Amino acid sequence: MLAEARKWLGTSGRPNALTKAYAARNGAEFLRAPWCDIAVTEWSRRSGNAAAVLPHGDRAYTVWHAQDGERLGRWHAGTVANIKKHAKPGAIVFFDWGGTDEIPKIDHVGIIEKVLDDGRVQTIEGNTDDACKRRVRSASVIAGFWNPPYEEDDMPLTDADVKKIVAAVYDRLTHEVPPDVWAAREGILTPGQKIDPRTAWRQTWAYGKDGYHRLREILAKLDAQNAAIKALADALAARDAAINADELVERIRAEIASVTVRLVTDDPA
Amino acid sequence: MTHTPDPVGEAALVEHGVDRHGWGPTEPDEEAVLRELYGEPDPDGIYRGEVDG
Repeated sequence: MLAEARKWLGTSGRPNALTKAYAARNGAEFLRAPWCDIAVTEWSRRSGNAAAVLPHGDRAYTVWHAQDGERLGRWHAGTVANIKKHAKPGAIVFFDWGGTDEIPKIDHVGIIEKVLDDGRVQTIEGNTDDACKRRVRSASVIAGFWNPPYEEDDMPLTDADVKKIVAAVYDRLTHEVPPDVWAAREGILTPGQKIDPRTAWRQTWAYGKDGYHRLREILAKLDAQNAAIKALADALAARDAAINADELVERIRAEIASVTVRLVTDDPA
Repeated sequence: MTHTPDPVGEAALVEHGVDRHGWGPTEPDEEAVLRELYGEPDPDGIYRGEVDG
């Protein structure tokens, strides 16, 4: 909706492409009519949001358009509190230059592009000085507004929204290493260190890879030790015919299997 | 969505019930706010900058 409205910034005079399109459907009398709500109607139709913005069909008369929102139970009077609490980008915002919040007195309409921190809104309006422009409006001239029930993807998140979500997800998935965990005691992780999913995966991979290489070294040493035992048994059998080398090797293996040994290897780190 | 021209005459209501040319600025600092949000306007005074969030 907003992307479509932005395309029309700078459109001016009448008839214009917006009033011509509206007039083609609703009558030539709209060619030169006040076109603020015609603009909202056309933007919603061209962006595929007619069902949300025009629940009762095309609108050029702002009062009826405000009443459409009221019938949906979505109308909010134009107070600072309501703007801060309920106004969203894409909301249809109605103005009464007389300063009331009364729907029958509405003079003008636009859509909210941004809700400002001070409770005002920045809008895109058709037919403001007979042109489509961005404006800043306060509650003093806002009669009320309503948020159309846009489909989820019709109002895409801003970059700032995405950054907030990314920060929240990162914070949720990031953990601080406590001082009393095994990895901290072993010196693998530093207490207080931030561990996010990417870091955790890298560390898991690094230590898994390290463990794999250390296991390969241990197996290689065992193979070398077995070979040395076999060589020693063969040498003894060569000197003494009473010695059966194969039986001697099996006896040595059996003895080794029956005892617990601590195998010390060099730390590759 | 189909639409039938309103029988009570929406065009007449628009002509008499809607501000003919729409008001211009109503906030004294509008130019400053828009310039901060969107940068300098084009030669026609239209702020066309991208949304910064």
